[in-house]
Amino acid sequence: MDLLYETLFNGLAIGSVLVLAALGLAVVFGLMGVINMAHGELMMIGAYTTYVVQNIFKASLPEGLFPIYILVSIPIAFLVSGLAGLLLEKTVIRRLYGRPLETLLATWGVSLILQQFVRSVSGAFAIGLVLAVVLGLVLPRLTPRAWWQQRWTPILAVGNWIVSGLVGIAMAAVLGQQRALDEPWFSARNLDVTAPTWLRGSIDLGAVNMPTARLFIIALTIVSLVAVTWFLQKSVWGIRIRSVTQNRPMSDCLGIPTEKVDALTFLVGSGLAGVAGVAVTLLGSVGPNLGGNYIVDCFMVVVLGGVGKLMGTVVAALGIGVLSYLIGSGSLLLLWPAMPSGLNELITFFATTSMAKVLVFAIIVVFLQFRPAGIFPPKGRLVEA
Amino acid sequence: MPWVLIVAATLILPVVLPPFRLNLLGRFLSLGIVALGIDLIWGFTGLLSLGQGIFFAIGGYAIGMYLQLDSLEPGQLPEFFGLYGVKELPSFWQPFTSPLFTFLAIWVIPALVAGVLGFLVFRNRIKGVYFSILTQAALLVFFNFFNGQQKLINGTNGLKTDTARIFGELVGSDAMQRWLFWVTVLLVVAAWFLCRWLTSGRFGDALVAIRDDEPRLRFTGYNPTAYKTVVFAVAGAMAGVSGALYTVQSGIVSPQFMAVPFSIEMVIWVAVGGRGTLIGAILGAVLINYAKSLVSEALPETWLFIQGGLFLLVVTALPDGLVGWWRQGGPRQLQAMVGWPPVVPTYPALDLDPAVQAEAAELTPPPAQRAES
Amino acid sequence: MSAPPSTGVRPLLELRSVSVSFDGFWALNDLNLQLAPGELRAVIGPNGAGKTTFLDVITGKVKPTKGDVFFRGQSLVGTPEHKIARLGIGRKFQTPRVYQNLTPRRNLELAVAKRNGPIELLFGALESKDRDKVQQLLAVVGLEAHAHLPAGGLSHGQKQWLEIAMLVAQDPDLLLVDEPVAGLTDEETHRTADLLKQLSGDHTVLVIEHDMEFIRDLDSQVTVLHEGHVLCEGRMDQVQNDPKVIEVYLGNESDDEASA
Repeated sequence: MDLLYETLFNGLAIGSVLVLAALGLAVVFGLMGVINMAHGELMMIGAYTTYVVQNIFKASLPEGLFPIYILVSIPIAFLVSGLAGLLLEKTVIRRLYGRPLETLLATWGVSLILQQFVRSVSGAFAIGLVLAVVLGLVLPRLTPRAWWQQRWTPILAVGNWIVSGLVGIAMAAVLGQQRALDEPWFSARNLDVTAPTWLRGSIDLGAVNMPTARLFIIALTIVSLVAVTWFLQKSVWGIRIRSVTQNRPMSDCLGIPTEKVDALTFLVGSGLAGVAGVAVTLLGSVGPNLGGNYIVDCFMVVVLGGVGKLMGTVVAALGIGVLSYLIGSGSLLLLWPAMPSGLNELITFFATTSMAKVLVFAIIVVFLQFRPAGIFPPKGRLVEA
Repeated sequence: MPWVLIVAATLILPVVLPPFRLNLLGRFLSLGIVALGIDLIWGFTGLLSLGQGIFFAIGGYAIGMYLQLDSLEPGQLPEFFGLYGVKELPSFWQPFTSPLFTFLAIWVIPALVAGVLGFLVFRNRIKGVYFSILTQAALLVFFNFFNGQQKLINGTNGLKTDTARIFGELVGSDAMQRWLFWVTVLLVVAAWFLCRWLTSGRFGDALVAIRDDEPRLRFTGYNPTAYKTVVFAVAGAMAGVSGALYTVQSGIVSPQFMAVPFSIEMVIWVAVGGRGTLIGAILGAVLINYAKSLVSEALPETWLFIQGGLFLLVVTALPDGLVGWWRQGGPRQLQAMVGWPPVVPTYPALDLDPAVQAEAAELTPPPAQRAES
Repeated sequence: MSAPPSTGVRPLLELRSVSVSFDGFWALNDLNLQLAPGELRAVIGPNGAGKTTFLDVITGKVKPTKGDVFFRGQSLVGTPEHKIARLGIGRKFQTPRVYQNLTPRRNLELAVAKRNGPIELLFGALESKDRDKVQQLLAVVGLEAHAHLPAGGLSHGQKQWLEIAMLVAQDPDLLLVDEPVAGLTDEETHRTADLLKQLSGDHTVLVIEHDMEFIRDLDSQVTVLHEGHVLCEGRMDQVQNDPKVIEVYLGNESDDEASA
């Protein structure tokens, strides 16, 4: 019996990370229909933010405050990832509404850029980048206005950004001569975030050993879920978001600023990715590939859960979590010792984390044969427009 | 005329290019085949698969297994099995001693896998981004499977093929690579013809109809599931052939063929070249991979930036890719921007066309007739 | 032209107390309807009366929550859309839906093909009588000059006609026509009415329209739908004078006064 509880707890712990990671995705995908492949990278940004906050606490604040750095980094990570997501929405995704496959490809491009960015960003690189962006925005204002109303204006616009980019690169190259500026901030290595001591212990309840870090993540997940539910159901902006989801032209007519609503939805979704990033730092090291490890799982959660209902996301994530743990850790064998030998062999074959994924996927595909639209399918005439 | 050029290039290039470059070109051309398959399912049918790496790798593993076995003395096992203490050849390796079976397996097995996977997904009307996500998840699953099974197929390390021999000749040798280059060119052309045949007739019309309005086609009495399954299986077969050719020219097949980024990269080749245009797919595959190899030699860390930028550029500015841009008069627009107004063609034949005149008359009926009705 | 339903003939289509619920909202509520072979029938009703859902149920897009649909005495419930279409039920959609990137000719060629599996389309050529039919239909709807340009570039009216032509090319026994004259000129509306009247007799035609002039033109039996069930049936002038219909379309005066 204790074994069962332990299995359940561990499964829930894995599942709650998935819930947290998929929550933002479900908000963005469910409410806006946008596939954000860069979601994992937004998590990565959240994780790196935690790392930076930790270093600041270590370096310049009294030692007594160190244990709470993880709490401080939650809102900061939310903001940083949220703003990154906002920038993404304003520059790229806005142009692609209603074209989900294109959005998928574009956001994948963004995720590649973000990955390489954290690998190679250094002082010189950052200065060069800022310079290029500033030049690109400012140059058009310094040139005669008549130039911008010509047939060849598009070429000029492209040329402007190319020149700005080249100047930025040149600047970065020159500054890169300096050792201090050439030092990459994070580099491609994996970095470790040290959990504060209060998150390193564990609590024994009966015979079940519960690491506090896991409990913390479960608590964080519950808080985030409650907050998101409250935000969407009760707050003014949440109601606006839902109304835009249900009928965009009508909301527009009623004076709801749909563009702001889109931006806000995306900000919230991306911010949640940042929070998930904080949680993930407690489970392992932080690296540029962090996002890629989660993104496929998150999408499976969203597909399995069905679009538009947060409850579906939660059930699907917990289900996948428990199932993965059950199969992957081989605890199914311990729970059910009298298993027939053929089945036993099969289960043993799949009893590693990566092989568990194989079986879980198979189960998901079988499930989708019966419930193609997920656990909680949306209904009505709008479904197949 | 283009055919003359292609034949000439095929004959001259192996002489002119150093073996290393020739080998690269051969590899990129073989990637053109998987790109053609993606064009078929995405450009024409509207199914964005992010999992073509599965079929690509299966084709590669098929030839890899054959080459491993072919160069052995009777009774021997491929070397890596010794490392994991495997004494007996796993049963699924057995058929790969036969060249004929291997020849079929390269394209039949990927086609079957694609057909079954596709059928299960299409049957439930899972489409659009859901399809993309599921194919990506399937890819990850296959990756995990191949990566984790050391005892069956050497896991992460993959199978080396360049030290194996075909017809007594080392696969990695220059002479062999030249032959492989020619085989690749031949198969690319064949694949192009296959795709052209598939897309130009009524079958192709049905594919476009699925992309444009699938429910409408269904209400006309068509079963889109059958079409999608067939076309997905064909694309799978093409990916398998492509993977086999790529494997023998790069000397190894490994689970990295099924890495998630690689399969999305394939999509971007098609997007840059021009989806919905067959030549665009081949062109995109060769051009981007060539650019990648150049950039990676010089400034490896910038390639991801460039690639990410390409994704953004092609989606926002060049939705029809290079070939689409060219065909829609892109160069002429560019020329017009810098000052030479393009020559506007006129159609004197139009005024003589009876159909056009009839239509013009219909659009502006004489007053008397109007009053009558 | 259109024969009134004679009770002796077995109905071609029959809906028996069909109800459809979307999350507790009853789009169709105990709907009963019979169509005799060769009949031309108009269905009218205010917005939200369930007209489109009614077609969705017949063509298999929506499964009825309760009740059953019979076509030639055979139940259609649970049959996939394409099989229902092959049984001989064709549908024209409310907004014209043609394949934008195919030419009108190819649109029609897809619709006209009776043997339409992947193998047949790959290896079989279109029969010459089908080809003639396509050519003839192009002439009927006046799209010959546009036959080689993508249909996406056609005007709204041309798309409507192309879709009607596709329906005719498909040659079903039962034609379900959803708002065929929306966005057409008066002239085109008349021609559409004539076309539909011609088709009835050989085919059974069910038309959904808002345009009362057009319904009058059709000169057929009219069914009025309201809140998912049949309010009344009869000739146009009967229906028009039915107090229940007037109430539904114009609102109940005493109600209005009470609320005002």
